[in-house]
Amino acid sequence: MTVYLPGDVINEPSSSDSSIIGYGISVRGQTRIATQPGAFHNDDGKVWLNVHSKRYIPQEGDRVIAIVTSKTGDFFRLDIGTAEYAMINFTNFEGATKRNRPNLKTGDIIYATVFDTTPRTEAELTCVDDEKRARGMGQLNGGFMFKVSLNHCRRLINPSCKILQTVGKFFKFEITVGMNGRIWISASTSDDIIKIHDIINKSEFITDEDELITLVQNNYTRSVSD
Amino acid sequence: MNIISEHGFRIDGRRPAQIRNINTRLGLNRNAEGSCYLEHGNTKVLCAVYGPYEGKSSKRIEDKCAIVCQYSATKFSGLERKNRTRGDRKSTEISRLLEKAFESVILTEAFPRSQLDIFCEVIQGDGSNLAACVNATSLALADAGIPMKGIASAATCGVVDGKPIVDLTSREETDLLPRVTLATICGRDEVILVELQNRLHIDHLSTVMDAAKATCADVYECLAVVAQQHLKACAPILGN
Repeated sequence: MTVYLPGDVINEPSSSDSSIIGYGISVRGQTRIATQPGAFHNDDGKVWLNVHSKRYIPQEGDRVIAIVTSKTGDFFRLDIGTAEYAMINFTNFEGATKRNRPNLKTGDIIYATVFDTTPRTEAELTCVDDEKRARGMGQLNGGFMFKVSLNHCRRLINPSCKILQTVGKFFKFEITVGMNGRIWISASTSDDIIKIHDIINKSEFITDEDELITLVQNNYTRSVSD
Repeated sequence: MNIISEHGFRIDGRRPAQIRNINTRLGLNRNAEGSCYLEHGNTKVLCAVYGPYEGKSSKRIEDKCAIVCQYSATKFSGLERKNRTRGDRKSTEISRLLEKAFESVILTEAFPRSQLDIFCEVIQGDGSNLAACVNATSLALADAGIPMKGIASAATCGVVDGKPIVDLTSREETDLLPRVTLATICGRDEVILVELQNRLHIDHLSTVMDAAKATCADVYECLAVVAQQHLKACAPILGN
């Protein structure tokens, strides 16, 4: 793993013919400069830096968990953990019409897709796809929402990640992972929710599978009220 | 009492071009996007970075991020207790200096109409407080993953009998000693902050600036090692 700091010139030989410059790298003339501290990656003509960060920057197509902060006319104002609030129109919910409006209050949690991130305007979100179907998006009721780092969320979303599979063998739960570092979980009892929350938080820096199984087992057998 | 003894050593046993020990910890404030604890000898600084977030509309700048810095020293940080830890003239001046310095380091165009808060707290002050704050803020910004031109590093340099001495302690920061605080990016000749206190003869200026730049490059190597070690500790989630 090659680590670059801001201001370093990226001199990887395989990166000279890359055509797509990704996250954390900026181009000055012919040189490529790292703007954020991260681990260098290149894959199939793309170069980028994996940055450890907590603050989310919206990208089109990302699935995020948003908190309703206010309502202004036809739009709801949403907090997705970015530098500016995001917006969603009431027509971007499944089955919403002018007469049938979604019933959202301040503090409600929704799961949505970012579909417009023009600079200098607020990000726009939607809860439907091109065919006006929700496909799992919309309001999240009950459960518990907490924040982790962005990299941990990407790791959990990865299909080859073992964390959620291992937790699924011990607990019956429902989970929504947003790309903005927010995770929503729901289970039958509060004790289970607390245990799953602790497992996800503690597994951020665990790579060994046996260590992960031990962590899940210990949380499964412990008593929360102690 | 002379600052440099006849054998070429300072009061605490250092050579004129030698800096004090730097110890750091990154990421200890869980609520902040980035945080850093830095010890520069006996100068101890805590720094936390919040944001970028949507700040007040009065501070909003249309095409870039507004940087707000608050510098404060605890009541017990000096030899005598202070009644007012922030908001006095000296703290406000240092806050503005830090704001202007990091406005030229951070790529502010990446976050239009937002605000970035930097909080610096000096827990124990033993000279070179401003330089320690700059170093701690750089590491905190790197910990937060804010896009930057490079990691800034700062150092102080004074002149005694025409010879430069670097990284002054509080006993060396007398009212008569001319001293310069300099901050550069990546140890290169790219200056983001210069502060001069007391009067300095023009003949000594180039000597002091050269010594301060060399010391900034040394401090940058220390900060770069810390940031790289922290990134390698995050290897499980950065993807090997």
